[in-house]
Amino acid sequence: MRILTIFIAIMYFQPSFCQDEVKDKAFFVEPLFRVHGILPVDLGTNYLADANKGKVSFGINMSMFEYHNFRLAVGFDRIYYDVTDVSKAATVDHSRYNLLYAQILYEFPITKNFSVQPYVGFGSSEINFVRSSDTRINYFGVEANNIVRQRGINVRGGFYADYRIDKVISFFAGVGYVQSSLDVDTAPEFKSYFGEAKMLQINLGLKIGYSMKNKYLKNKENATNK
Amino acid sequence: MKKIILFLAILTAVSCETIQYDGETRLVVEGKVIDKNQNPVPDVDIEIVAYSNPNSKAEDLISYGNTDASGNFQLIIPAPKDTNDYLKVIVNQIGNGRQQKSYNSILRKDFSNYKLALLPTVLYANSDLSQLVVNSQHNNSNFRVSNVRLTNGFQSEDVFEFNPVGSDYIDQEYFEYYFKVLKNQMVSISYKTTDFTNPAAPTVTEHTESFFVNNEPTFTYTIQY
Repeated sequence: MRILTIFIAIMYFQPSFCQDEVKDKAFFVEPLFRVHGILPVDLGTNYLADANKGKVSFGINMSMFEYHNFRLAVGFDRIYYDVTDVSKAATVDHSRYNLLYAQILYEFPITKNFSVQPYVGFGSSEINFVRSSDTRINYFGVEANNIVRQRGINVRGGFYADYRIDKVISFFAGVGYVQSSLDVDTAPEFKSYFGEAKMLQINLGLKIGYSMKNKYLKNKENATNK
Repeated sequence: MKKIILFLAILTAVSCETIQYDGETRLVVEGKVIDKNQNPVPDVDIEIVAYSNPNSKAEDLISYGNTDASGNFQLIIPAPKDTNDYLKVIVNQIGNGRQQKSYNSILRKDFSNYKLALLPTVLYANSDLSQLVVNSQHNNSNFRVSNVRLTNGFQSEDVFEFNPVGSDYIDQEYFEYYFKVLKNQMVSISYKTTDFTNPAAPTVTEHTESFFVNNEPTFTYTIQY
């Protein structure tokens, strides 16, 4: 609770710090959220790419601080897949590819409203194989678990291109590459088939957050002009 | 209220069989389907079901597919978490005038390196096969017939048990023994007779008999003893 109070206090006083400090400031408390659609383009010969069809899905991420144009963000992607090859996927209705990650971004301002932010990140992956009552075709009523899981880790890299439309909201588009290494025990020739997932993500979404940094820069500019 | 509780209790008892799968273990089942002339049979339906109790008919269809143009099939499934759960591979469930075959009671231990490669499955046309029924006729009540088996002739059983449950079928004394064999061929059966005239020291004798299975869908042969 004490930590939360201090955190809120820091956030509250941030604008006044900006006004007082005329020296270059590197650290900004700046909560920022991204909500985006994901168009998955699966690459390679692996389970998700070969036996499934990815659907337009969604992701979110958020970051709290900026330091020397760097940001640390955490996010979550959920990508839905329909099974296209039962012989490899079993009687699964659909799959959910969940990616929980942390990423470091660096902001390159191009114009006043336009910036590019390359990023790298890593996190945990999980595929949920969901069997609905329709796909669990039980001849004589045996019960089967409806979600089967496979877990692993992922690394990612890519960039966002942000266009600010007002003080709070920006549109952004992005392209990212995500590669997961998943835990699996199977025949040697299928180890990489079920143990890897490679994906190109195309993102389109909204970035929401008030830029303390912009306000600081504006104040600084005003102060310099005076 | 009592009726509702009773109903729920019965429902729970009926639906207590649960099969859990492990998404991080994938089992590969592969094989080939051929006809009596060794030609591949394409588009034969293949199913894999999982079950936990061989005495129950409760089964979960976990995968299905078809043979390719070369008669090959390969299905990959998440493994049942309980290594004592069984799998069954059903070949040609639809039939289409051909024999349906089933590989039953497959356990995890039957897989080698997560793979089970079945021997080529020969699907005969139903019209090529005869149900051979072997029974016995008592002339002496002190004799028993057991261990009847086909020792010569083309046989094509519908069901193959990887891990037979209970006592060995052939070592038991049954009233009738059933074999799926090709029509119009000479076959040989072997069997044991046990003479219990002296119950303290029964004597066992091995016998072999040959006979011709004709063109009938069902052919009955009687062992006289």
